[in-house]
Amino acid sequence: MSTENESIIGGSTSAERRQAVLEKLNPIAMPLRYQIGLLGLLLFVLLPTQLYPDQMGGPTTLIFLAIFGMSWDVVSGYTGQLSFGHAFFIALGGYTTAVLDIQHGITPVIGIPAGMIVAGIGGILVGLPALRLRGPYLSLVTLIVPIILSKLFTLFNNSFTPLGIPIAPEGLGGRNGPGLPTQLFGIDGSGAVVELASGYSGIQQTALANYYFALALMVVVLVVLIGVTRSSAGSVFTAIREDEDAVAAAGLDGAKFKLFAFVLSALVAGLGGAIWVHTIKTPTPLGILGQDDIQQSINLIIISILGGTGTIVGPIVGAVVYAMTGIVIGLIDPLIGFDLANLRPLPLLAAAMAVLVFAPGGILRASIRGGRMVLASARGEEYEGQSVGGDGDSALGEIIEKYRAELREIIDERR
Amino acid sequence: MVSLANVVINAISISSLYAIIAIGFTLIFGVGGVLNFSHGALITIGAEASWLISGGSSPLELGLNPAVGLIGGMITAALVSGALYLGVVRFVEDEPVTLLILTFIIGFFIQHACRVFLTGTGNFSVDLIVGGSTNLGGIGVQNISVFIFVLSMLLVVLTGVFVSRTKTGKAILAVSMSDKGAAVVGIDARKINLVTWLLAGAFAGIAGVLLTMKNTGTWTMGTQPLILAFSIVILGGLGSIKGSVVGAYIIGFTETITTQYIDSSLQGFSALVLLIVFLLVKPEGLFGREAAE
Repeated sequence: MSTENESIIGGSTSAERRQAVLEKLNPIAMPLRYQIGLLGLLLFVLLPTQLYPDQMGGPTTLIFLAIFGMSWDVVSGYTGQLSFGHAFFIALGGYTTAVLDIQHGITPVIGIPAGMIVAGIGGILVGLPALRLRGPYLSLVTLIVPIILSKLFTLFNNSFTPLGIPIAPEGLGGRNGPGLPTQLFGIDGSGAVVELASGYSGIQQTALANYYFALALMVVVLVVLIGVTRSSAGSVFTAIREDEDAVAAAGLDGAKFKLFAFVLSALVAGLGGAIWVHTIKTPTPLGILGQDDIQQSINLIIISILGGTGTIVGPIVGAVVYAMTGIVIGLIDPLIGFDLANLRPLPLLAAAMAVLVFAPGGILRASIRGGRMVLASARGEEYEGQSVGGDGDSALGEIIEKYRAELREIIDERR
Repeated sequence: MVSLANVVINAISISSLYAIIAIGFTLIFGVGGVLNFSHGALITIGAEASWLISGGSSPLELGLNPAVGLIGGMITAALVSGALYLGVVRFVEDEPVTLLILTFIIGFFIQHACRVFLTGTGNFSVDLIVGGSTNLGGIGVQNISVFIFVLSMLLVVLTGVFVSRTKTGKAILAVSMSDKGAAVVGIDARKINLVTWLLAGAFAGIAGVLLTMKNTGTWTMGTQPLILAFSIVILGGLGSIKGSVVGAYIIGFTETITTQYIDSSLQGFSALVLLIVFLLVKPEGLFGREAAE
């Protein structure tokens, strides 16, 4: 891989480059869809002004789900290596820092990076088999690693000291989890890392601090992941999804990039998971891995598919839609006099099915296309691109193609 | 201390249940190339249907004979499975990833629907089809375990005979070997697919009812067997019926022996670790290279 950048102005001075970057970052001159994206980000920032502190839990959870969805998208949306157990990395990050904090008294400031690193190692462990296992086999491995992890939590619920090394001398806590770790933000005297005001205003500030901290994390993750996926590494990811042989023929080591995608994704999920348990989530297998230890991972897939795979921004849109279904149901409830909330998560699952079948590119792509069509017709032109919902250039369409080829190979081998 | 003989009998009966679940899963894969993740939900459906028909506390209060419940569970699951094929799978058949994720989501949908509309989060039970226990050479054996073993083995043998002797069975085999070749000799692949989906659904339904009789039923009861069935099928080789039966016994015995003699919290653990080792060493499975039988 050559490291030289195909800069927009090749061979320019650094002053000219800075000028070009600034021009690119000027919101007025941006394409419409970026402006809408920035507006969405602004809405995220302004959201707390419309809510009471005790309503902040939902939006904060939403942001964490978006972070996890983005981390899924890097590996599955871009390289096409479907991961069905992404909560594994979240749990690794969350449990590492929680155990370090509760049982070894190590501050979250160190515990969170440690959790991130452990998740990264988990990414190597899952990524290595991905180098030699194809389609359905890899899906199976990713599907069962969180289940095995959850069994380990139960198995070592009282103490976890492999080879005499006291990793978690008081155990991993089984179904109840290792306990509540130190919070990053709390009211005065609560022992949190950052102690805020006391009393009710402290509770208010805690809720806001959790929210804005998560939001800041989301923006950082968004910038990093967009940076990686729009760079030359991102092109290789996409190339792996489309045709691994072509990547090899171009003299690139596809395995290295696959592993990189897995580790990057795991690091992000681990970081998110670690911060999650220090802000709004108590680490338990049910809370982090979900029902049957797989529901959470499936939710992340649903979020990414709803928003649009292979876009990084898509999962944020997906997470918002995910949260909105809950709110909309809550609003409809009193109107029809029937407790629709009991139906959760049925409407969401139905929505995911519909998107899968009718708009495999996800809501983000469909709305960008829809928007272009509207703009084109407003200008009195004919829209040249594909129609809404077509899966022509969608990442999912390419993942499908890759999977199909792998399945065909497996079936042919047997004959 | 449970006697060794009892552990073995328990292992045999649970393995034979896994075998029929795995056969359904592998048939659908072999014939249509579809990894059907809603298979677990069909297990739940069979169980819930039998509970509606013959359960003591069901809202229908039919309270019919458990045998009727068994047949009802089988038919309901088969019908739902057939409807899944006709209503959904048929349209996205050549898009494996969409299908994979879609069947996953449909499976969750069905299970959650069962929870919301039928049984809630609690356990439910149905009467045993044959109660009591028999004394076999000094060992007390639960009759239901024997029944499960006999019925499952009967189904396995019948499937074998069906596939190798009857016209439809041979057509199934033909489609799983080559859909083009099958089309050349005038086999309607759509029809054959439907037959395998019905068959797989019926097997899953029976397994669900029997699992409920053996233990108890819950809305999530299908997930664990689904993951085990997936493991069994990979262990035995994707698409191979013989492999599924052998794989089911390997997984069933590992599972029972570790939970019985090492730690009961290991349920579902040793089998999965075994599987990962297997995947890394011999990914094509035990019978991976032979044609589907």
